[in-house]
Amino acid sequence: MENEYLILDNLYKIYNPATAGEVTALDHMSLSLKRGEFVTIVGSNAAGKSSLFNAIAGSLELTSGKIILDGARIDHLDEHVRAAYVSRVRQNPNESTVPSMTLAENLAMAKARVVGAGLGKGVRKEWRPEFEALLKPLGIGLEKRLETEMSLFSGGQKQSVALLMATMIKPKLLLLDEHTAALDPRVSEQILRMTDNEVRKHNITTLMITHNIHHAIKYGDRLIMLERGRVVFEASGEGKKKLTIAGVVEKLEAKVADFEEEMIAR
Amino acid sequence: MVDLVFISLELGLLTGLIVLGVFLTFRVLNYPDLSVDGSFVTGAAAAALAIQSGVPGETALLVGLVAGLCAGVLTAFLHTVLGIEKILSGILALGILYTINLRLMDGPNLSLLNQETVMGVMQAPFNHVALIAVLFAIVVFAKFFIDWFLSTGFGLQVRATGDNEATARSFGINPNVTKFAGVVISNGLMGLAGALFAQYMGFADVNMGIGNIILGLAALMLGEAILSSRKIATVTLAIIVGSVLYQFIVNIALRLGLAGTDLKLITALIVIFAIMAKDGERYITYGKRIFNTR
Repeated sequence: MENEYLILDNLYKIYNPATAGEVTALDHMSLSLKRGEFVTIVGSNAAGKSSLFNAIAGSLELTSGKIILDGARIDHLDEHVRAAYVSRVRQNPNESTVPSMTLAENLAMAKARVVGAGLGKGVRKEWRPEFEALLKPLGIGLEKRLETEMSLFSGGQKQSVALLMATMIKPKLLLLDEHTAALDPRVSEQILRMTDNEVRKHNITTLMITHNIHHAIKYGDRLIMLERGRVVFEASGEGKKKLTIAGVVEKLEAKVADFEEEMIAR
Repeated sequence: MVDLVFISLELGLLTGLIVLGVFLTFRVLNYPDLSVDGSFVTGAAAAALAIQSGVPGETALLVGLVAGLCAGVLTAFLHTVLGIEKILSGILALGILYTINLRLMDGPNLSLLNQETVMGVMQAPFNHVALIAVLFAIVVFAKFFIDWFLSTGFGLQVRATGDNEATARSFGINPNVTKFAGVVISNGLMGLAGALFAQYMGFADVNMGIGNIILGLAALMLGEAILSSRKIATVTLAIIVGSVLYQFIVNIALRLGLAGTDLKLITALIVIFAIMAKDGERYITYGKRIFNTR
C-alpha cells in the first residue's frame, strides 16, 4: 500500500437508509492508484460512478470509508478546500467554466486556487504572458481571445479551457466526469488527445469516467468497471490492450444481469 | 420645468445607490434579496436618530451605512449559517427589520425638522446645483467601488458564485463567504441611500423603503435597455443613467396628473414591459403555446 498515491478504502454510501427508497450507491468499494496513473471508469447508469466522483471531490458525504491522497486523509475536508489539489472537469461545458466571465478571468480564477484570491486585481498583468503560453499549444487561437466572454466559445473550446484550468495548477488528482460526452466525435477525440498530453506531461494521477468504451480502452493505464457501487472488473497493461469493445459491452451486460437476478432472488 | 430637472436628477442619483445594491444581489450574485426594502429604512432611521442626538449629517451617513451593513449581516446569516432559502431569508429579515426600525425610531417616523443635515444646502434658499454635485460624487464613488470590487480576485469569486455555486465550489470558492460579502455590501449601499434620503426628505419613515426592489429592477432594466453591455463598468454606468431616467419618467407622469399612489403600479409595469421586451420573441413565436397541454 505504501507506494499508493490515492487510496479509496471501503467507500460506503447509502441513500435513504431503512426506507423503501434505500439505495446503496457505493458498496464498500476499494481502489488504489499509483502516482501518475491514469484510470478509466466504465459502468452502466446507477453504477455509482457519479457518487464516487462526488465523494472524492467532496460534494457528497460518505456513510463510511476513507479517502487518502498523497498520504493525507481528505474525506472530512470541504469541497472548496479539496479543490486546491483535486481538479474536476464536468460534462456540461457551461458548468466546467464560468460563462459570464472572460477567458482571462476564468484562468485567473483557476490560478487563484493556489495563489489565493484577495482584493488585488483579479487578472494580474504579469499573468497574461503565462495564459497566452498555456493557450497557444492548443492551436485554436484562444491566446488572442483572452478578453472574450466564455459563453461565446463553442463546447469544445470551453472544455479545452476547462481542462487547462484543471491541470494548470498541477493537481494531485484529476477527475474527468464524462468531459467529452457533450461534444461531437471529432472534437471529443481532440479533447481526449489533449487530455492524454496534459496528464502525461505533468504526470497527473487521473480518473476518467466515460460512456465511450472505445475511449476507455484506448486511453489510460487501467480500465475498471463499476456496477452497483462495486468494482466488478479491471484490466491493465497487456490485458487492457487486448480488450475489445464487444467484449467489454458483453461483460457489462452480464454484470448488470447478474445484479438483476440477485435483486430478484432477494 | 427647471424644478423637474433638478428633482429628477437628485432623486435619480440618490436612488442610483439603491439600484447598484440591487444589481449586486439580483444580477451578480443571483440572490434576490428582498430585505433591501427594510435595510434602506434601517439606514434612514439610524441616521435620523444620530442627527437628533447631535451627530453631524456627514457622520450620520456613515451611521446609515453601518446600519445597512448590519442589516445585510442579518440576511446573510439567515441564508449562509442557518441555511434558509435565499428568498425566504430576505423576507424574514424584512420582518425583523420592520420591528427594529420601529423600535429605533420609537414610532413610525422621525422628523429632522430644524436639524442640521448634510443637506444643509437643502434648507432655503435651495442650492440644487451643490446638492446634485454632492449626490453625483457619492453615487460615482459607489459605482467605482463596485467596479473595483468585482474586478478583484475575490470579486471574480463573487461573480462565479452567482453564475453557478457548484462550479464555484470546484474552483475552491466557498460560496458562503462570497454570498455573505455580497449581501452585506449591497445592504450597506441601501443603508447609505436611506441615510441620504432621510436627510433629503427631512424625515425617516418606517414605510419609506417599500418598493425599493421594484424601483431597483425598473431602473436597472431601463439602464440595460439604453446601454446594453456585459462589461461591469458599463452596466454600473447604465444603472445610474437608468435611475435618473426612471425619475424623469415618474416625475413627468406626476406632473401630468398621476397620483403618487399610482406610482407602484407604473413601476411594476415598467419592469414587466422591460422583461417582455428582453425576450419579446418568445411572446410572439410561442405565445399560443403557453397554455397548450399537448
